[in-house]
Amino acid sequence: MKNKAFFSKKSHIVALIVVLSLLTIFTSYLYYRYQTKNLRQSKQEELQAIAHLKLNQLMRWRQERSADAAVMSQRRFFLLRLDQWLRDRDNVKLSAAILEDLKMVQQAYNYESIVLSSVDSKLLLSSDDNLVHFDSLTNKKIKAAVDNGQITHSDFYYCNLENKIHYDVIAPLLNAGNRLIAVLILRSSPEEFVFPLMQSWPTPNKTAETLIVRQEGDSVLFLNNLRHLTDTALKLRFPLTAKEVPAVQAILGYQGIWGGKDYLAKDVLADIRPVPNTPWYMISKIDKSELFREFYVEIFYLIIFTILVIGTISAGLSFVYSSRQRNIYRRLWQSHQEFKTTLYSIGDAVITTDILGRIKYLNPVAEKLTGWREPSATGKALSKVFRIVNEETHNPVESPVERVLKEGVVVGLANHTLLISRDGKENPIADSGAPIKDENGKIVGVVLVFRDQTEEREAQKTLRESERKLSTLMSNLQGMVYFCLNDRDWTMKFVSQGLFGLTGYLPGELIENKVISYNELIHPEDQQYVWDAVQAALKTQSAYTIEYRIIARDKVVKWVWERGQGVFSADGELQGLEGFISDITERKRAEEQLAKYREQLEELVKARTEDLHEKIEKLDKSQKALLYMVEDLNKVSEELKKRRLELETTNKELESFSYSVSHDLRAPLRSIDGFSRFLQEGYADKLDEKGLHYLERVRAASQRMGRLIDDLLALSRTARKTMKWEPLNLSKLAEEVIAELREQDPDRDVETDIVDGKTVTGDAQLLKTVMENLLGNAWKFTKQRKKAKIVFGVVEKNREQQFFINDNGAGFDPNYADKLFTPFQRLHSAEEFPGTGIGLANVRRIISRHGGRVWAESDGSGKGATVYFVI
Amino acid sequence: MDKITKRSILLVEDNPDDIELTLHALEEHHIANQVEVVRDGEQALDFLFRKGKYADRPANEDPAVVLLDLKLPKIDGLELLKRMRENPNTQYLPVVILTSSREEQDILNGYKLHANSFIRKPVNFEQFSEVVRNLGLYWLVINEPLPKGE
Repeated sequence: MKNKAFFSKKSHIVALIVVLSLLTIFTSYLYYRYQTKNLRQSKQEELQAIAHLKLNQLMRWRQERSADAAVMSQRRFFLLRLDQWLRDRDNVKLSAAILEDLKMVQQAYNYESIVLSSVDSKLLLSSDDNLVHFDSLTNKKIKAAVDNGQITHSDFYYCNLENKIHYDVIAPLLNAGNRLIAVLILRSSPEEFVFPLMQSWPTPNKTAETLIVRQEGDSVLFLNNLRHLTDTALKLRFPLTAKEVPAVQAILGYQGIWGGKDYLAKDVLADIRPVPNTPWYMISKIDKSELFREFYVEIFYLIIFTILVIGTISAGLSFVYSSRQRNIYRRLWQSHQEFKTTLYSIGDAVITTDILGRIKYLNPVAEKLTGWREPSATGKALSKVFRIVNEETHNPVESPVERVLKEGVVVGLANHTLLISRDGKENPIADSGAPIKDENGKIVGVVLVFRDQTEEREAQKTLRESERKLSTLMSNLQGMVYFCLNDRDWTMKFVSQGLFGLTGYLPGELIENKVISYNELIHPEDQQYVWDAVQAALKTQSAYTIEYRIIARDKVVKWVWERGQGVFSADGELQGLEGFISDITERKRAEEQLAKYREQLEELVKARTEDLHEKIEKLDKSQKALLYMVEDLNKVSEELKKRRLELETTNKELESFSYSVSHDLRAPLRSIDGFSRFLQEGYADKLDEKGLHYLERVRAASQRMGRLIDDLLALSRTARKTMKWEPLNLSKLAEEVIAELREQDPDRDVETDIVDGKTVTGDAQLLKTVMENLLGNAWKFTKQRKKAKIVFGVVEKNREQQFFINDNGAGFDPNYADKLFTPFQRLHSAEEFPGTGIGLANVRRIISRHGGRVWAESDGSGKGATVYFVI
Repeated sequence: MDKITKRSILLVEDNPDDIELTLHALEEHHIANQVEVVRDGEQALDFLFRKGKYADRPANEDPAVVLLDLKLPKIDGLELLKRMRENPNTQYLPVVILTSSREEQDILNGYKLHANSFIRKPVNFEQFSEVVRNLGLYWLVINEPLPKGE
């Protein structure tokens, strides 16, 4: 996991690439160093081997010269002949033979020339005919050889005479008598052999060569011709101060491998060694550029390889990094999705904000509580969406987000907080806020979790309420509630206030047996009984109900009733006992009393039973009498049914009678009136005044008869009409009727007083007839009054509404009040007040049909009248 | 008055007193000459549908209005009215029920059979005379009859 974390950081990846690259470069460098060393070593060895070879060749060449000289100086015959010739200089034969010999040797051993010199350096004989005398340098050499009697080597030297470089080996020649007779000079041309030898190299190359140098004064002299400069032999010099030059180092005494600059100022590797028995030094050198050429190629490939390796590492790590990043982003997205899903589906409301308290997320529960939708809330300040106030004071509460940002820890909100939603609804909430930190522990936001507490608060309230009720109940109980241990003392853990009333002790005195144990309160005779009863109930885990005596503080013995049960834990262990004890002393006393009464009662019952038997017999008889009565009643009811049928028939007959009356009785009346009229009009001149008067009486009578018939018909219709019950306004009806009366009789001045808004339920048409009749009567009977007054009102009497119509008219004799409502009954003359005597009869009939009653009152004639009716 | 002379009234009434009183009243108002009187429902039907002694009654001389009593021998007034309304020729003939009855049932039945008016004969002759005058004036003069041939 740590590895994964390591790869997920860009800086780590870069560092890793750098380290790996450095490692690669370092490895390459080591390899380079190793190869350089190896190559140098092998090149040096090669150089040394070649130098060694060259030196050997040079020395062998020199030895060969010495050996040749020795051989020549030891040849007896030659010496003998020479000796002879020297003594006989004119012996041409001899000289020719000696010269012949010299020439033969010169050719055989490939010398430039072989010369014989006298001891005093006079040229005697020369294989080279051109040579006639010696240069000064040769003279000196000869002298030296003569002096030490040894074979002497000259150095390479430049011969002024011949203008070429020579190398001479000088051997003194002795005769048989060991006398120095001559000097033999074997002259070689270094350019023939030694110089090419030095120049040549056993392996193919461009720059390698060998030099021979010697000191000459304070400089170094190059003896041979060089590969890269012509005509240097015995001419090229370097001062000894040019210490980088290997030749100089040689002169200065250095032996072995030396890296420096050659005569062309090129970097070279040189092998320096002295040539034994000579003042020479041999230097074998090769240009470093050549020496290391193949290594340069190798370095080139090494660099390429290194770059490739570094590139591969970088690419590989970059790929790992990017795929890791991709993975990280995918996991980040997944965890983000997980977070969102969790956030949106949990039952609590959640709001997250950034460091500035602006909202980032708002889950659906939070939406519901705040009334804000997530899209509109996002980016808003939390205080705008999450408005909280103190439940009691309604003062704003400090935002939990600010507190979290300030304190950087998880904080819970103070209790009694109300959240005000967007639409002003208030919900109690409980919430907490926690900081969101990044990997460095820096706070980047706040998550706020809260919950609607409405139900919780309700539950708490309910709980508190029920606790309060319980406590009230317990303190009001006539008795005590307890919780005690199941021991012989009944050690009390809890007792309610009822204890005091029951025993006279306070709860504090009984709990934990402080002053007295409950068992001590139990009557000694009952203690065992109580124990046994409780233990028996506990065995079956059932409740126990017992009655026993206790002795209160004031030594009064009381009967108590107790009901309780064991309290068991979930694993069936007895925790204690709880129950209720109440005072039943009164009941016990009553029971005793009752027992006494019961005995008395039994005796009493015995006596009464006998009594009852007699009465039952009597009752039997009465019952029989009753049965007969019922039979009689049935008979009466049948009779009634018959009567009703008869009545219905009569009614129908009456109906057809009325019909006839309306039709058939009216027709003759019309004839009487009509023809009387014709008489009045057509025959007036034939009748005297009296006759005309009678005709007038006939017509008046017939018209009165017509009105009588109409009223009778109305009466009969009232009886037959089908009632239609509906609510109607009696006051309004009265107004209408009065208005009609005023219209018919506009000359009358009548004051009316009609009570407002009185409604009843009844048949509108029939009640209108009632009002017409009653008000019409009042109107009629007040016609002689100058100030007539009619009142329609209502009085409340005997819990019923009594409507009345009062007038200040003619009134009537109260002795005849009952007769008013009989048909055709009139109390006034027709001349005085016309009428048929049917109106009030009709009123009575209508009121009766409504189930009401009607009556009239008057204080006497001329004192007005009042008609009351109740519906 | 020209119009009135041409148009007639059919009075269906069995009571001779009422016939005389009606005719007298019409006479008083000078509209008596055009009254045809029949004594029962059967006669009325004969008259209206040109049967029996009325078979020769000329066409196009239907009465302007029928004054109908309800209580009639043989065929009573409502029955007569019903038959009139069933016949296309007399379907729209104005019928005024003129009766002593004020029974609601009679009024209701009369209107159900499309009586044009229902008038109760007053006992007082002056009132009766006035009713008859108004009737004659309304049906013979004011009311526009159904166009001929319809």
